[in-house]
Amino acid sequence: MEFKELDPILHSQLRLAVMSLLISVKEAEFTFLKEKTNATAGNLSVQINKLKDAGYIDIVKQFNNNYPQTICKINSAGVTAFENYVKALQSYMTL
Amino acid sequence: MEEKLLSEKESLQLITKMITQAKNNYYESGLGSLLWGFTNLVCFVLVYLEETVSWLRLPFNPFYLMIITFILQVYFDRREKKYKQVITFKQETCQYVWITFGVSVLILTIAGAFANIGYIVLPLLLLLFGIPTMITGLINKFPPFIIGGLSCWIFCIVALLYKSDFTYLLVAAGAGLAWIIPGFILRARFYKNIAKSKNGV
Repeated sequence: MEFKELDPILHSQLRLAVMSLLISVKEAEFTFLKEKTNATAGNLSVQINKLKDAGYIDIVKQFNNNYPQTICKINSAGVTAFENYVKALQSYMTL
Repeated sequence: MEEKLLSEKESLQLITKMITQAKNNYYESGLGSLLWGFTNLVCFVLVYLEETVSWLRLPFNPFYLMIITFILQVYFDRREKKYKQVITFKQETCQYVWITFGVSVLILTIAGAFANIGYIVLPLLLLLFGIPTMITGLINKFPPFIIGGLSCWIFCIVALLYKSDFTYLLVAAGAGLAWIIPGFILRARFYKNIAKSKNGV
């Protein structure tokens, strides 16, 4: 039986939570992710940047009525990585 | 949420929990539904009165009210956009369905007026009213929209079978059942959610 390696970028609680939220929606604002994950703004910001650096999500920073807004969206590389991660998890679970 | 490594079971549990949370984030203020529901109700009742009450002549075409409603809708959409933290695939799909519906209604009413096809436009309008209402209801599992959509289709059958001025009132009733009642329910739910989030429940 071959073990599939779990993606270290995704195999962390907060980053996985963010990816799971983003895979279910078209796009989400930073505040939505913060509210759903109960993470601190600083920690969430760091983890989101790690996902962005890995090429899994796209981040758009803009202003909405003079308020800064950070919009996150999972991209195709992110979807593939997430699918592979879930498949790898399933292979461990069926052992 | 802390930064920690998870077991395989914990990972799957977390994924399921987050996907469920994201999917349950149905944001709908009901404002658009109420706006269009009341506009249609008023327009079609006015047209019915104009057609049936001999001395009544309105100084304007009631359907011009739709233009004001459209402007209000654009304004409210922009205002609501800043409160929307997330766009779900369901919301995006529903949005496209309603845009398609709007274009279809526009084509039917304008081309219908030029082609002078008269009464057939009203049952067709009811048929069209039912489509996006039913789809929105089914996608969001929101029974008031499903009942509203069904009502429009039943009224469409009645309007096709019994051709009379009464058809205008059927369209008004269709708008009331399809949008006004669900709109009030959505509005109540919306205020309840706001109160909940303010109280931190």
